[in-house]
Amino acid sequence: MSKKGREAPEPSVLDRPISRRTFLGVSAGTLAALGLGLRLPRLSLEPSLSPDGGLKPLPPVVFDREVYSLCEQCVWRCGLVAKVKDGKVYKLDGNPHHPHSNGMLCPRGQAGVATLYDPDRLLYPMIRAGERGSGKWQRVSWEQALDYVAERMLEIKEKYGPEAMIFSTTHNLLQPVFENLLKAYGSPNYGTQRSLCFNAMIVANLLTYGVQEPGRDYSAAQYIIYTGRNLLEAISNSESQALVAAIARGAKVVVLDPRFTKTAAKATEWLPIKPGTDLAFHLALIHEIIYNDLYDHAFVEAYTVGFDELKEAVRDYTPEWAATKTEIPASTIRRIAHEFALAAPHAFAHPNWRTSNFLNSFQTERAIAILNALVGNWGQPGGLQPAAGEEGAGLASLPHPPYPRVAALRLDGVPWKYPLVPLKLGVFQEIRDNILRGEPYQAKGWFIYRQNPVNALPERRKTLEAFSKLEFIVTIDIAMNDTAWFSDVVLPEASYLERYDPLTVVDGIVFIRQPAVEPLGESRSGLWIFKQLGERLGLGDYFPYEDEEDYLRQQLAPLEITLEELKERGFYRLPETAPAEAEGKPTLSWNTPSGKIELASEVLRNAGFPAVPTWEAPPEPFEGQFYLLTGKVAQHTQFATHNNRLLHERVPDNPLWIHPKAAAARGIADGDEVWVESAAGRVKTRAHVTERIRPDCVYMTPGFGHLSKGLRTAYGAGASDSDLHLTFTDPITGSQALSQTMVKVTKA
Amino acid sequence: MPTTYDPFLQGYSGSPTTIEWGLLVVIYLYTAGISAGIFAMSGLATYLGGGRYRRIARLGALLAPWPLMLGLAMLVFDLGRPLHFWLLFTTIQFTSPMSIGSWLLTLFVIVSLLYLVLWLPRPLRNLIRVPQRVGDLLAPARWQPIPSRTVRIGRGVLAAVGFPISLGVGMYTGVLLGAIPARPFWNTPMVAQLFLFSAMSTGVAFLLLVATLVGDLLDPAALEHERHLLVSVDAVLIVLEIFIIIPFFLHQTLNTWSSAASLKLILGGPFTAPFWIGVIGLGLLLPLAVEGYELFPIILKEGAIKYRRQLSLASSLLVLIGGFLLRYVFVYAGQLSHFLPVFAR
Amino acid sequence: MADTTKKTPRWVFVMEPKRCIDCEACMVACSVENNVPIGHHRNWIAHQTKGSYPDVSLFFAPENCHHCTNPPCERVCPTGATYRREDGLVLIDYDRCIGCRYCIQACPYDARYFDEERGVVDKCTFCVHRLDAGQPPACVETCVGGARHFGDLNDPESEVSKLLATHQHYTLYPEAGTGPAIFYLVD
Repeated sequence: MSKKGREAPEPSVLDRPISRRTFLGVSAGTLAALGLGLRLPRLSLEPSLSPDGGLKPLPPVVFDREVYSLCEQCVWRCGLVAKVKDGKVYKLDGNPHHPHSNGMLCPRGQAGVATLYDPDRLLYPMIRAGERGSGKWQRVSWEQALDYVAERMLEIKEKYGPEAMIFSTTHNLLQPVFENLLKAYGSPNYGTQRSLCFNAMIVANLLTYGVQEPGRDYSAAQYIIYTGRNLLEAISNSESQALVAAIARGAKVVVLDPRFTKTAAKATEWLPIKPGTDLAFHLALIHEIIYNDLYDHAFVEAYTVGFDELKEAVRDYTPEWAATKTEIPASTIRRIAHEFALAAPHAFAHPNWRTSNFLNSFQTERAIAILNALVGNWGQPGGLQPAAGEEGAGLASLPHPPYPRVAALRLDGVPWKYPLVPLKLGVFQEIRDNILRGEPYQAKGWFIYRQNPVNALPERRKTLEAFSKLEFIVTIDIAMNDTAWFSDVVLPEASYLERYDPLTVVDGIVFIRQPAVEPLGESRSGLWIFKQLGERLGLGDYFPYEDEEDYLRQQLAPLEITLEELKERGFYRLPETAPAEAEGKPTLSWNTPSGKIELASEVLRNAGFPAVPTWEAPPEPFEGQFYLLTGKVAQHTQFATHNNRLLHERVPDNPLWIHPKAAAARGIADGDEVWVESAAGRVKTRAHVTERIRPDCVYMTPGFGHLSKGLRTAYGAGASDSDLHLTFTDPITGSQALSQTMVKVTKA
Repeated sequence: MPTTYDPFLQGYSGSPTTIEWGLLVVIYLYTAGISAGIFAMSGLATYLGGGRYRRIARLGALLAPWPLMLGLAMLVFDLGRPLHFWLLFTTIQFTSPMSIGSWLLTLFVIVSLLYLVLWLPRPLRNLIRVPQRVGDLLAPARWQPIPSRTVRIGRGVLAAVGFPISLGVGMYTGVLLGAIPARPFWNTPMVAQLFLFSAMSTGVAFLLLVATLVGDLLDPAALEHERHLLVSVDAVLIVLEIFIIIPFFLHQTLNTWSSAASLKLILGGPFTAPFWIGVIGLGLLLPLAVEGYELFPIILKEGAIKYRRQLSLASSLLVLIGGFLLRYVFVYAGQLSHFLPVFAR
Repeated sequence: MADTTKKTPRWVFVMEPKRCIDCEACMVACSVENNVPIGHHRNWIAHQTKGSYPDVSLFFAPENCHHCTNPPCERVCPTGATYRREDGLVLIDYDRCIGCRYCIQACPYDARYFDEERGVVDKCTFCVHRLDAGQPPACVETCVGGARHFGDLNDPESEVSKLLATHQHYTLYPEAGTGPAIFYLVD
């Protein structure tokens, strides 16, 4: 029997004698409403994507517009195409021209429609009308809200000095304008989340190679070592794609991780390494490669300094020694060292991303950087690559008057307590701790944009305590996240699908974020908010643009393309600048004091730290305690996506992973409720008994356990690891040590 | 209510199982079977013994349509779009047991209702007037009560016509489930016979129950031979059911891995107790023992049937409970059975 | 898509489990594209965990309705609502569906779901509305790992034809005799 679509069927012997048109002529919805049968309500997205709302699902929709823009569900910022009809976004697809997406979007990107149409979006400015965290708000106009914020900020500046106001935000396209605001205001206190993430990696690479983060060439890599970097769950779209392609091509991938992540599952070899001992593993690799003469002699002699010192330092770091630390057999370590060296230079040890694990993570990162240098893979096919050019190069910067001189010390201890931490990175948790201590002075206000310090910082209780020391807290966000919930003023930013942001350059291509639809409610773009605020603060000269489009036009001024053309096409390839190197030859100079790769670093030595990577034993749990591991899932981004109904459907909570033996010893069965307790606090959650983790570890996906009742989907979902994490700060990099919190687990 | 069962999963997770068919469907299958059994018994009684079992025939005729009508109401209510049930009658899908079944049921309802009319006690029956000649069709004033001869012949014809239809209804409830390879617990040829014999047995039990309850209004002594018919037919049916369950187990065990594993649902799995205690114990063995006790003297040719009111009530209720539990176990357990996930191979 | 003006296409999926990372982008994309009610899904990632620490393995493979050549759902539908198109797509005429859910029982892949609000059964349609407009299904377009391949098996030059010709492959539940249109490449 064959029938076409929804047209009349071809006649057949089984042809129906009665017309298909229901002679009742009543829609199913009405019939359902008559109470026939019990129907569960459909929790469909708004807008309803089924135009007639009847029996037929989405018919082929012809879209009015396809708008090129950029995703904001994580920092990878993939290019996307928004399909719009009747002023509503129906679907998001990847922009094939964007090197970060290559036409594909990860689950969070695809769920962007549910972020845009989240019923818990902030739609208008609000001022607290009860205690902080009571959920009592008074809706006000933008005029009132902005006037009030400026008034309070000027008051603080007047009474306590501009340094009493903290400004913080996380990696985003508006950062230059945000930095502009805080510098114009005169505060040195700029908090980003970087010390909770990759300070260790960046400082190590800056000291070794003079770049923040070397690139990686997957297309020719034959051997890749990952130290935890769970690239297939902590998806960085294009890089995850590249890894999958490498695996499919047959590259050998080794993963060091106490947990059998999905990256480990796809890898060639998984090493269930003892937490905190990756340093020993890499020191042993260095030892093997040096003492078995497997290193690239020519490269090391010509382009590195400190080899002899390094060789001496790793003398005792044999695979046998490392085996006692890592619980990985010496023969395995030895074999991997030889395999890696053999595959070099088409091999690399990944520099990692979030390295806020242990206090010795900096040494681990140094060891990894040096391991790569020893095999001479710099600039080689399949090796580390010189970093791409500066973000924003090629675009014009908007002019501004000179910034006021800042005399005050930074609250985050840079550089007076942390001499080696770059100013742009900072030590975020130190800010919170110094608010509590009132050292070196008492902070009075906090201006937060697109960030969630209440959840991001370890020891959530302490952060809320710090809040109580502040006179004024203002948060700009798109939904009532936990930080907004405890603030004094909440300003609604338009979501990434509803606004312009400053243009950005990726791999020599200019990309635009532009509104796909009109902002919902009274939400406005950050560009507008900062200008409005700046003017009220008497800093209008620092925001020399009429509106968002004017800002972008000024950025485009030196280029041959108009804003209209860029909006149409979504991207513009910058004219080629003269290549720094001739074809095929890698860049062979490094922005270090010696101009070479620093296996031994004078900078470290002068600051009183070991010049070469040195073993530092990590802490270990007491009898009956576990390492509390943290990590990522592909369907959520840190603390931001848990209210998204589509993503919540995929991953609704974060049970505690525990090994069957450890569970059995405590009488815990899969699904049982358990208490997880650290020195910072305790949480109750469910147990997930699994073979995919070391018996001495437990794991919780971060980001759950929201306190804000303004997030109706996320509230009450899962448990918060921020309530458990203790604060440990590395004196060299300011990096947090999120895996050094030990916990007890008991059946509830 | 469990929604997964581990032997089928083996560390695998995919599209999760849903229990789509619940109590409404169980009740429907059960009542359809009862109606089929009642009619078949009534039809049999019409022909056997030259009128000796008239009262069974009458009782059966009066009762037959109703359990099914109740079940059909449940079924329509269970549909996603109940008011569109008539779409079933715009086509016949020969490959679909449900399509064939809906037509069969319609036939059964029509035949059993007509049959009921013909078996009404004469005073009631005479209230119904029908045209005597074709020419009178449009002249209701001239319609007369149904002539006796028509009634007599009609009863016979409808019994003969309805008997295979009842068997069809009894079997089709099993074929409905048995035709689904995707549910290995159901997918056995035995299930059609099992449901058929259970249908017949529960129908007879229902008749026995009602007859026993209203027996005091009638002459108890005259019921002896009727009760003998019902009890012995039921006992035979129970024995036949047991001899279907045995090959059911054998076939499933010796069949594919999925089929063999599906038996675990009633051999240690969540439906073990309802099956062995409910279906086998209460529904088959215990009533068989009671009926055996009643029939014992006749079997050994020693004397009259040891009839007792309480025994009849007990055995008929037990059969009815067992029959319900059979449908319950099959419908629910079947939905938890699956092919072995291929990735485990 | 290849030029199919002469021959009717036969649409198939070729899945490459080696490349699947279980990110579920395909599930989210499908739900958005087809307005699937929350709590139901038209596609999913099957996964299998085996072994005990430290010898553990985890296997993923994408799955959706297999649009069988011999579909058990079509066979059992009492109203003829489920039907198979010439190009292999098995679709539902919602006007004729009464929501009896017999087809859900019949599907060995558990690919169908009951949409309570509309009172009918629904499932993956291979994004027929996109196919008719010359675009690939939403799940294929967004697959981060590149594990989902889709195309016309009747075109010998198509990617799917070439993949099947050069790789060992299998289908799911061959004993069900459904003749599925989804093929899995052996790792």
